[in-house]
Amino acid sequence: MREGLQEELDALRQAVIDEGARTADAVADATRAVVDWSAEAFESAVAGEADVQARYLEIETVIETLIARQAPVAGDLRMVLASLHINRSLERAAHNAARVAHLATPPPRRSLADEAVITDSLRAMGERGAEMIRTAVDAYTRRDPNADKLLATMDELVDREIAKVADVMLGLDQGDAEVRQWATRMVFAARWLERIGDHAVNVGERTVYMVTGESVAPNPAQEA
Amino acid sequence: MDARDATTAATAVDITVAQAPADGAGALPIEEREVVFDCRDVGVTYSGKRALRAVDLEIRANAVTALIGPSGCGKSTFLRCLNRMNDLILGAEVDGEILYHGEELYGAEVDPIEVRKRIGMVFQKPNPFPKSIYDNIAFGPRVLGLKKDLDERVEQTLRRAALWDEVKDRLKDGALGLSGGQQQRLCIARALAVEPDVILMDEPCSALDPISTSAIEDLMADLKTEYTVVIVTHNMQQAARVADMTAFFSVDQGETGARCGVLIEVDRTEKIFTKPANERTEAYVTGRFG
Amino acid sequence: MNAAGQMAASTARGAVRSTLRSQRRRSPVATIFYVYLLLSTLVGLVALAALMFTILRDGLPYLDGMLFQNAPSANPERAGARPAIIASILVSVVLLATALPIAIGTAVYLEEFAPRGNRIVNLIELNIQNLAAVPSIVYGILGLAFLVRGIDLGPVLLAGALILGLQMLPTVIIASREALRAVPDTVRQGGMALGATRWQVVWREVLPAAIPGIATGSILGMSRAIGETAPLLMVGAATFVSFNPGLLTQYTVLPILIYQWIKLPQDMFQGLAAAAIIVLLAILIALNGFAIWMRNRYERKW
Repeated sequence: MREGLQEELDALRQAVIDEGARTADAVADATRAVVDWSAEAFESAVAGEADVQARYLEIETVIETLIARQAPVAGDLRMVLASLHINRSLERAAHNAARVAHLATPPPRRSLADEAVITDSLRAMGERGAEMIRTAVDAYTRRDPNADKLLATMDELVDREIAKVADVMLGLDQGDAEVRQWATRMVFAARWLERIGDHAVNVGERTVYMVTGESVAPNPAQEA
Repeated sequence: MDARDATTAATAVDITVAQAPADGAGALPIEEREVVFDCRDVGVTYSGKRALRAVDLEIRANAVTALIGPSGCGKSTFLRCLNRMNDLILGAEVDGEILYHGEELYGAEVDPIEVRKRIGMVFQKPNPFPKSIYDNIAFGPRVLGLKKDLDERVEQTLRRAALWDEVKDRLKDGALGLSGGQQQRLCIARALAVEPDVILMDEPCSALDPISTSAIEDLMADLKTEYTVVIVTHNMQQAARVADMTAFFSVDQGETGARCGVLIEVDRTEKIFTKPANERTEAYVTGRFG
Repeated sequence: MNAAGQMAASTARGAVRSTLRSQRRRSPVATIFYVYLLLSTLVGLVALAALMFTILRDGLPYLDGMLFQNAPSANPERAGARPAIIASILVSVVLLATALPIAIGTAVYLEEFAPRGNRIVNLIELNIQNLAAVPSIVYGILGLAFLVRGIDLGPVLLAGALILGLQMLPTVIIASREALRAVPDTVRQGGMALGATRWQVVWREVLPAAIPGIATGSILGMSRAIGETAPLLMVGAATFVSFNPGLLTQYTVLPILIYQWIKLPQDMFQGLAAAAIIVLLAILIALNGFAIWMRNRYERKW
């Protein structure tokens, strides 16, 4: 019964899953852009953000229509509301990825040991971020009631890495303006990557709400 | 308990009605309001065939409680237990215990007539008497001996039922000339005229158009400040809109294939429609099963 | 639209129009059936018209004051029907006062208060149907045995009226029950749900709503009773009564008088009989008119 509703819910779910995959790709591309200084990765990341933006608007409209016409309740309602939040989180994550890509600059001197630390941290954060997005969307697909815990654990690495970057930044030679400028840009990039992790955690929390109806307090520092 | 009602004079059970203070928005949270009906293990059989079993339910004062469920789940049967209308059905037997303000509703000395004076009922199809609008409302007070100030009483109840403005110039006209929605509001006014404590409504809007339905739903929200309302509805969205508490009934099929109504879940309406505890409730409210 | 389009449109219209015209020929069976129905109605109307015409033609000349003022007499010049008219009216009054309340009361009890499915009640219901079919002469014999001789009432008007009342009971009971059944059960439920007793609901809501049907049934019963002769003859109604009858006196009623007069050889008596028939018909029409008036006054649309 209510086959129409079921079809619409399934289509919505698939749209979110596809959007999530695209977002994860954009994050991976942005990471490569900022640590490998690849022009192709940069183009990919920017295109990825545009793609996700378009999907975001479409999903918003789909949800609006679904609520107006079908008046979902109980589990269906929670799924729709969760998808609404997740849609937003994914869009913000893709936006953050584009910001990261735009900050990509090769360091002024390749021989810096600090540069390596920063770049390695960024790579770790970015790869973990992409992985978290994929994991979160997978948890959403599987309706995992422990998604929040899963993603919180994964986020710990991101927090550690950004702390490393901050330390390096503080210990840098104050005299070298070029290095300082580059390092500052990298810190901003690290910040955006950290936010991507937060968005992935939010997706996990919304998934838990969808499955159990329990709302976890949203991850502080919500919006990008 | 026996079927046919006894119209012999029996000592009426003295009932003091303590109502929750009807202050503005909010009042007392539902769980703290007085229990009007305390139903324990209530069941009904018709000529030996079981129609309803093991209902444990509390109905709270100054709230709207909705009974929802698929057809044949016994919700109307249960409603009729609350004002002993099942007594009028040949072969109907009610078992279990129903306490009304702490008194046994089916006690030996309880007169069903007295019960029905306090617990009014509005039916699915509007059933005004084939008389004038005025005489419809006046019937109750007249037979109960409340003859004083009849005109005021009629006006008051018609205002309460949001019908006064539409009929004040034609009180002597026949009630059957009113539209369906107006007739139903007339039946509500008629029930109010005897100053009941509880109003039971059996699918009151199912025969009405959406605008009349809306008017009556608004009326319910207003009535609950002074009365306790229990409504049976097959329209889930209506229950979601008007009820404070929702009870979901469904049908169990026994080994012999006999179908019997049971209470599945009862909770605050918002809980039933966002996070129902029972998967059968979830299946019903999401429309996956009828 | 261009010319080609217009042509196409009008062809389409023509095609539709021809399909809309009646496709079927009026079947012969339908026509025959229709004619049969018409003829059946006409038979009744024509017979009634012929009857009325004959009666009026023969009786109108004799419809004068003498008919109402004089007692029957061997002399047709001075014969009247006064005692019989008074007796017929008295009988009606007795029926109204005794048989009607009993019949309506029985109907109300059986329909509203008697326990359903009860064996005794079912037996009663079955027998009421049977009693309606019993020939009127049997009631006459019953009356003779129990009223006239049994309690020694004698061959008086009261005995005759009571027997006619008994005969009338089944008809009125059945008609009243139908009228009560026609009141929707929702009215009763609505009344009971307000805390009224069953009696209050019946008296205030159900009975008033059933009045049209009850009135019709009652008048039907009374019309038949007023036209009866056989049972009255059995209980000893006289054929020649010249004084004004009372409840406990000998009596004769219009139908019997008419029968008497028709048997007499003089032509004038035939005319007088026709006139008396007109009076009888007038009484019956008045009664039926009253029933129709009652019905219209209390008519409700469900």
